Amino acid sequence: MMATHTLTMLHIVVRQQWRIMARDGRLRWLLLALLLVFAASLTAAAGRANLTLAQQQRDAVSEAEVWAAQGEANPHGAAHFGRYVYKPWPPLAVLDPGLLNHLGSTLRLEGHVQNTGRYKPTDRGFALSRFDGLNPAAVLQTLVPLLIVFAAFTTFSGTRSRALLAQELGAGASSRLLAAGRFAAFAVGLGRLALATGVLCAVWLGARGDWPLFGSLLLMLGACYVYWLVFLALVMAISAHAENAGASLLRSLGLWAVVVVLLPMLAPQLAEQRYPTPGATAFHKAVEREVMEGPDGHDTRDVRLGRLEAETLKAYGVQKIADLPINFDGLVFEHGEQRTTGIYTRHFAQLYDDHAAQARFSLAASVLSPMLALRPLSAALAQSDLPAHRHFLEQAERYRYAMVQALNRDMKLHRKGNGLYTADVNAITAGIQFAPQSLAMRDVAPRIVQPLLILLAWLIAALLLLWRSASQLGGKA
Amino acid sequence: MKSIFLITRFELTRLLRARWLAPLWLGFALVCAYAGWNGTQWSAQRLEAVEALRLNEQKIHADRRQQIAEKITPETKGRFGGALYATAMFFQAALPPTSMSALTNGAADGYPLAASIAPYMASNTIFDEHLADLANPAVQAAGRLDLAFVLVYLFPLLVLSASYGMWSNEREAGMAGWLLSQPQAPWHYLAAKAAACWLATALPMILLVTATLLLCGARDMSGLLACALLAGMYGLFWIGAAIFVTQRLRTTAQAAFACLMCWLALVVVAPALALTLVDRIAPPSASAERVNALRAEAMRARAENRAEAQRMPKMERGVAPNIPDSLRLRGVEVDRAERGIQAVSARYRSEDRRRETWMERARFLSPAIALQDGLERLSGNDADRALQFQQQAQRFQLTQRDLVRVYLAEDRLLTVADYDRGLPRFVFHEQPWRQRTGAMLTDVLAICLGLFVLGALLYWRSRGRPLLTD
Amino acid sequence: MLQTISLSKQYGSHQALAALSVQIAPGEVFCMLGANGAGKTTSIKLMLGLLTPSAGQVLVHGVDVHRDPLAARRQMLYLPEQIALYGEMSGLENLDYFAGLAGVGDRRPSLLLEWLHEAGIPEDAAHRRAATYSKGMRQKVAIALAIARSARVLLLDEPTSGLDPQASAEFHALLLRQRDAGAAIYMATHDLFRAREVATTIGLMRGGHLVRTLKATDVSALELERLYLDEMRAPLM
Repeated sequence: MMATHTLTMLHIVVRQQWRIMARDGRLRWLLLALLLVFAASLTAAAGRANLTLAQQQRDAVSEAEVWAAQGEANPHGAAHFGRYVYKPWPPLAVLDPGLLNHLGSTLRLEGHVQNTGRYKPTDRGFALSRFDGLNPAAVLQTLVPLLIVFAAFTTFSGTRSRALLAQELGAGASSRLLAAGRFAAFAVGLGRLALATGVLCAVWLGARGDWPLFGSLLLMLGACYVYWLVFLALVMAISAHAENAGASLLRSLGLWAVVVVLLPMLAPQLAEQRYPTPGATAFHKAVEREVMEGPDGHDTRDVRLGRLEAETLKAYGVQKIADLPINFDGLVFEHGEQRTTGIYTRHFAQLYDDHAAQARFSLAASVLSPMLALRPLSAALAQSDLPAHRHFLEQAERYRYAMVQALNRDMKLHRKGNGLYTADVNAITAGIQFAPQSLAMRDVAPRIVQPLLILLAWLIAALLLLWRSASQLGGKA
Repeated sequence: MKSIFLITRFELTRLLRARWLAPLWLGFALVCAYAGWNGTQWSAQRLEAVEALRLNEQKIHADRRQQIAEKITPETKGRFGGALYATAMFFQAALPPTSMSALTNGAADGYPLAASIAPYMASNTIFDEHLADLANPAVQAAGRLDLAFVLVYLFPLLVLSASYGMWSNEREAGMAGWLLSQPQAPWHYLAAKAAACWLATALPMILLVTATLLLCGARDMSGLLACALLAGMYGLFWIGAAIFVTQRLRTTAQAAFACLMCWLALVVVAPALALTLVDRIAPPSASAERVNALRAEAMRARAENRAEAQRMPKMERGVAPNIPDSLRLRGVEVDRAERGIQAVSARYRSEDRRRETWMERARFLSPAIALQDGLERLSGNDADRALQFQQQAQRFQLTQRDLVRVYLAEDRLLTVADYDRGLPRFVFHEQPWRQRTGAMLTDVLAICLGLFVLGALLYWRSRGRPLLTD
Repeated sequence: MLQTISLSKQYGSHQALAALSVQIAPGEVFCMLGANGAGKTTSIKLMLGLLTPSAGQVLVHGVDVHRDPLAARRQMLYLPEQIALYGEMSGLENLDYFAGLAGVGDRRPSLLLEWLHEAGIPEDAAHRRAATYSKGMRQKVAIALAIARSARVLLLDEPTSGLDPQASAEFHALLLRQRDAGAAIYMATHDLFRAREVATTIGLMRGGHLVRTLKATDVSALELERLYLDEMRAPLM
């Protein structure tokens, strides 16, 4: 009986709050503006992604033509001439570009060197480029909380609200019931917003035929929705505590500025301080130093190759290099490539481990800001984060190694003597294809579970705070 | 004027007594301190990298000098071509940070910091080694909290927090009618309140930023003054914006909301949309496509070189020259290749110039863009300076090719004396002050334009109606 | 002298004030009585030049308020229903400010304190922040301003609304002193009995129309009350 009565009252409060929101012209305009900005940013991002994809397809064709145009060339020279591969833009990265604008999409593959991506979208920028940040995810993660501030800051503060509160409590509603009802009304509104943005994204995904990505899209928007609810509960709690509407607004805006803007900026920088990584010059110097400690594979007279020479002669049962059935220069190239690849792989692994440590630090900082949990979760689902990029780089590195060693092996097996040797390098590498695959969901899962749990913990904490704040409302009426 | 002074003094006293003002200054000072430290760290890393490159160049020269002095004999000469032949000279060109570099990293991270130059390298590859950066993209994506960010984004928010209630406070308190009933023109109140607001919020914050820059090592007095001027005008713009958007609003909550929307529109949304538009109208030239085109051109040039080599009769010499003829032939090939590189690059350069023009025009869309541009120029980390560096580095390489031609013509090898005298060094020449000042003045003009537009709109809206109402 | 000539204000189809013509000579008090929304505050705002009339004119000692509002306001003092002061400033500082705005040249602290004292605010209260002031205290600051300005025309909008009887009586005593000093006073009020005591002329306003004007000495308080109620109930022609 009590439960039925409470539910009925709750329904009344929800309906009343919904009416207030629906009749708030200011809120309507704000919502409309937000949806327009979201739609515009989604359209722009989709357009850019389509252009990038088309350009990459043209580039891949040109690159293959250039490679083939070498014709008969020295295979090791071709390994130095190198190839280029292009990182495909993940479909959901249109919604959340994550780190992609700061990662090069073009990778040069050449002998003896492991490169990082080149030609980032942020390269060759101007002052205006500094303002590039309004992607769809930013609208959802940064602007919607601002909308929540403006919608909810007067929920319990303000002269009118306080006067009405006295009447509502006098009529028999409890302050917690009022809080729950208003929260529910706002939550329904936010749910509709999530649905609207989801429909826009779904239409675009559907047009591309990317049906398997719907699950990820749902998870992204779901996590975003939880984040919005956290913010809503916090703003309502502030409203319950504030002396007046002005104080409520200022504190809520302060919360937004700190939690949504400043902390997400500071956390990666502090993480970088905590786990510093070498700059490009220092990194390459360290690699070079280690490479120079051994033979680089270009000088077969290098005394450090003595052991390799001895082992090879023994393996083939001959006394002199000239008697080997294989070309020793080619073998040295193979050996050198194997060695330098090992050095580079170890150094890059350390770098990526440091980046991962920085990411863990930032995630730990999500106790101060739920945005620090949402951002990596969203980027992981969109495959626009560092681990997804690393996955691409590893595939590219396997391709590079296979291609370079194929060229070196050709020299080893077919070059006679030490004179000029050329071969059809395109034919040598024709059987080695590069077809990068995106990460499977099971590989992404570990990076979304923890942030999701953190968001849920935030939601529980925020709701408890709201519950507690609401119970103190009676004294303020 | 006397009454404006009276109102200004009164409003200033009120503001200085406000409990939130001191915490605002303190909070801003702390943020400035962190931003300044951040900028200093970044600047120090750049300086360290530039110094490392300089030392690397010195070491290579020293090693080569040592090779000539101690290791080269007529029998081993062929193995030390790198030290002996002018064609193998090696230089490092680097763009040094300025003393105001801590202000912002600007666009610097998107351009190569340095160039590794050898006379016979393809001119389009001298920056390749310095293109890729290994910084965590998560830090770059989060945005660097530098002094420019503080000025462009946070400064207006803080100025607005003091000025949003400029008239709506009085209206809400019921004081507006009483004030308007005094024999004072309404614009006196607005002008005086604006002045008081600027003096109490904008000016202290500008002084804090200037002090931070001084502590970070900035010694360019004209640069500091220019920074203060830009920020001062920017602050004035936002106070004007607060007056404009809140002129007719009844409550302080509405006023706060309107001011924040104004900030969002001018600092976040409009610039982002402008960038999207510029990306559509004048997209950046496709770097990967350019690389493929240049590689294709290199293939074509190589084929041409081979055909040329087969056609050319072998040069018969009585005495072998000091510098092998293969290097002279290489010089011809390099010149030929350079013409091909310039021909291929021309189209992409033109696309980039078109984009640059549109990007520069966007300054007039929002004072936030103009201020960001101005601050980047003051810090020396703007796109213009980076592009100047690239042009100077490429010109330096061409100059060294001319020098190599002299050595080839004279069949002269490099000697210990050449190394002791010092090989040519790249020195970056800053833009002439006229050019720099012109660009800065454009930024000032853009902000002034914003103020003018606000004033015009306010005037237009108030025609036939009272400027202020109760 | 304060004079209105067929002063009217229309908002769309709603007539907020219709052809108000009154003349208040120096030393006279005109009390406008009427219900909430009758148009009393509108009439005051029009007299101040805060609203633009749809028709008619307001003259303050011959100066057209809407042609030269600043010159007219130099001779006027307005006391709104709710006197608001800057809470973070003291009563003394508030008076200094408003007197300065009004063009009072000599604003030595001793003079300011004297004016405040004359209005009923002791020195220690004068130095306290205005945020601590009661409504009556704030009213007195406004009266001190009137004393400082020696304004020739006073416009009062329900000045005793919300005041306790003692404060109300003190206010009326001050008001009479201003009248005796030669000020022309226009007061909008609900207080029939006080109006009867202080007024020279009483006007009854309803629906923006001045429906009746009578000399205060011609009616008793009870008669005034009856007349008022009759006018408020009668159909508006």
